[in-house]
Amino acid sequence: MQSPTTQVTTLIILATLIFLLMPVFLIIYIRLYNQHKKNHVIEKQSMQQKFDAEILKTLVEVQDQTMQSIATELHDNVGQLLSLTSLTLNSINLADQEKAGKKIENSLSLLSKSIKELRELAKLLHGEQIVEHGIGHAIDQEINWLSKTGAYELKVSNDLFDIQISSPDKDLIILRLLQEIINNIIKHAQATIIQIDTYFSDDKLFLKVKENGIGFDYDETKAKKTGMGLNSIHKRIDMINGKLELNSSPQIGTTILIEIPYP
Amino acid sequence: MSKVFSIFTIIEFLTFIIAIICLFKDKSLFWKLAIAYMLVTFSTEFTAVIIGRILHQHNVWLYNIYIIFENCFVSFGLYQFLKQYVNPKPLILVGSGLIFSSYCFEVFSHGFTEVFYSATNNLSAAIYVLYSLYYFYVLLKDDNFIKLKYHPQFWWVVGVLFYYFGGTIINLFDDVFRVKLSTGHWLRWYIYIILNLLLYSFWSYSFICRARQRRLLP
Repeated sequence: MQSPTTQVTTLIILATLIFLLMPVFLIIYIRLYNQHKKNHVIEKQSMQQKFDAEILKTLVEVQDQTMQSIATELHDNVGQLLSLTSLTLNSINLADQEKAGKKIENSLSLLSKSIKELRELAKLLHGEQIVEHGIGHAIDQEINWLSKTGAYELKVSNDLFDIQISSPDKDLIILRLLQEIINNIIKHAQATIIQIDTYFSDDKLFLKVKENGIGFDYDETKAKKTGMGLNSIHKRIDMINGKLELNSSPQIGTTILIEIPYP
Repeated sequence: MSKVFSIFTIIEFLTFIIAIICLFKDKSLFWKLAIAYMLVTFSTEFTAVIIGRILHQHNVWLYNIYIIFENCFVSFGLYQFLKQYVNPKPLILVGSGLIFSSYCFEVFSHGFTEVFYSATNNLSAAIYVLYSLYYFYVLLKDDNFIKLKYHPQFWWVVGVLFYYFGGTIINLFDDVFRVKLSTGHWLRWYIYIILNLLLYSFWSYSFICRARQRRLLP
């Protein structure tokens, strides 16, 4: 049987030990929570890095597309015009003043046309910074370029000119999405009519592209992961928390609706 | 010689030395004050030992004066550390007001040399435990993570929590059950050795972390 003093001593020591153990548990908890916070911050940084890398990649792709368009334009249009001008000028016979005058007039006309085409090209080069003027203008520029091919009947409704808000990163991705969709149509769809609608509603930006091409099996393409363009579109839409709705029917065509929280 | 040095003075002296080594070049007011506070603590303990053991007189008045320094320093420290996350002014002012009122009450009711102001001591301990817990709460709530292992503020507050929370039982029940052990010392004496060891170990470590932090900071 313990004496009351011993019992009190034991009780006080035990209680003090318990009171000392509580801060120990608290420190362990803080340490674990802090570790969790650290992991979260690292994860966030890593996601931001991935996002930045993707933005950079998108920028490079947009620039590539621009350069390709310029190269094609220089080769197919301006180059041809200048060659023709050169040929016309070479064939001038100064002895025959009347014919020479006509040829010079023709050459001048060809040169004017070349200058006009070069101005258009300059606009396109400027288009690398096109998103700086707003997504509405960027989309318009892209559609203008498509219309110049003359291969498609375009039905356009672009309501994004007047939106007061902007998100440069998202604008770049949206522009690239449109470029990829158009590329896919040109390469695979065999379409004759393309309808492009863009609008802004309830803090969301909508981009709808409809064409009357040969269509494709969306589920099969998605499952096989063969459509690199499609995968890239999906990845970029996920990155900006957007949604994609795609309907495709053989011989009827494809409709793509993209919904992006904006800005 | 052993009469002059107690285990408490040794612990406090060592902490004082560590504080000088680690904090002497520190530009922060609080960490500079830490050196001064450790000097005051060591001097108080040393003087109390001389008064008690050699002069055989009451030294309780010295501890009653020391309480003022202790409360000012700990309150200032917690204020500084909480300030990094929230505005602690109202909280610290209320706590300090309560402690000051209790101190004044004890001065008027017991005089200065009669008894140790245990009510003020217990009240301040409870307040510091709450402050420390609040510090940990805001630390956890903060979005940024810190390297706890080398965070001087964190370890300083840990020392405060261990000391004041660990002393709760002995502070509350010592007056009721004064237990003298067969070794001739009071139970309170042993518990306070452990609490002092914990407090000054954590504080010494926080001083070392602070020196490391100062070296790494531009």
